[in-house]
Amino acid sequence: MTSNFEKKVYKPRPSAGWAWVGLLGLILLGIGLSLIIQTGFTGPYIVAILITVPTGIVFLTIAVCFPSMRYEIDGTRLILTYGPLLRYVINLEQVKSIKRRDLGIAIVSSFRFPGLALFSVPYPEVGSVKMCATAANSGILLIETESEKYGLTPADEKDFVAELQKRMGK
Amino acid sequence: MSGVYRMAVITIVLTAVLCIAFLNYLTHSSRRYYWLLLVALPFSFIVNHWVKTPLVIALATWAGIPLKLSLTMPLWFIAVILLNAPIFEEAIKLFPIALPASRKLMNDAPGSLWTGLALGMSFGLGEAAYIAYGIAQSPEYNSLPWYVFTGYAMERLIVTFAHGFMTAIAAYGFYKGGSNILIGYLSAVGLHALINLGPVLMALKLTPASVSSAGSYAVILAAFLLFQRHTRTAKKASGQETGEVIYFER
Repeated sequence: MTSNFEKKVYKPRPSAGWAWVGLLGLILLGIGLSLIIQTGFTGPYIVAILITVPTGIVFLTIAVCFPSMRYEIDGTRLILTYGPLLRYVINLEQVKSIKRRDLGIAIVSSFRFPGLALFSVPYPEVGSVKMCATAANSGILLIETESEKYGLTPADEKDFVAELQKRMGK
Repeated sequence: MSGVYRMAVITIVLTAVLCIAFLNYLTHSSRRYYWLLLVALPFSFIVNHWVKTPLVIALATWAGIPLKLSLTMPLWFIAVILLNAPIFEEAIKLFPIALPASRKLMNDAPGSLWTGLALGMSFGLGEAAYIAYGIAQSPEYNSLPWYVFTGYAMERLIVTFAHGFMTAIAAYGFYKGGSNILIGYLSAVGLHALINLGPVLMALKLTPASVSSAGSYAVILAAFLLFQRHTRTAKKASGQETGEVIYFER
């Protein structure tokens, strides 16, 4: 679909989410490397090494990509990106609702830290939400479409929502 | 330095960071609850050295029962061993609530939950150090390298949060007052006893270790769910619920 609207890019509100993920990555990598140094690759801790080292590297990669999180409004599409790791495209014509609310904790495991939530995260009140946000629970902007819910945290929320509504023709 | 002490330092630092993060999330970055994480640190040592152990030894001596847990023990004494920790640990964790400084933090329903949570987690952190001290006294474990104590680390991390949930449930009862004080305390004692039931049954050779652990973790999960339910009720009661703003709906 063609549109006369210019592309606009919004940054998420600041948080220290990268620090938690980075710290966890360093701890996992540290444990894994310590085990390699002390027991080598043939010792009884090979399974622990194979889990901790790659997981640590993944977490560090996610921490490094933190500054690349952004929300791009291009024509009538909203694109949520987190570096090369995440890209959600929302067709604004399919948006059913836009709300800001706090969300609770679900016990199901997901990629959710203080100050960072990515990928699909289950919440007790609203079910599974595709997150690309610098908060896991407080002040989440929920965008619901026909088939999915998305959670984001734009720094300039009012301007962001106004721009969305303009593109939606509301 | 014994390997278990190294692992204890790693465990306590990591768990403390996670406790702060959890408190930070729940309290919306209110830092006034952080200092409570220091208050109950020595309580595990105090209650074990000066209350629980002397009581069990005194009762065993009085009744002429050997202290090794087995099915030859009278049932009442097994019950004493099972309830010893829940009754006294849940009581000492609540003790700081009586202090004026803590009471100021309990002026609303969510505040009582955060206060109890912080005190319980503080106790758990202290208990992690105390248990490491106990392990280090055993020559069998003293010479092992630090990285074999991952089981200790995982268990202490989870149990520290469990202590927090149980004390929060009890503190919420104290906030509500009246008969809720007793209900809250007995709920915490009951959950604690159920968590300890698995290890006691295992020591009596009635269940394997895997069943014992699974049972304990299931009860910890139940404690978390009860805590979460109280949190929702408390937030609703104090008008802190969701804060929903609807920008657009069709």
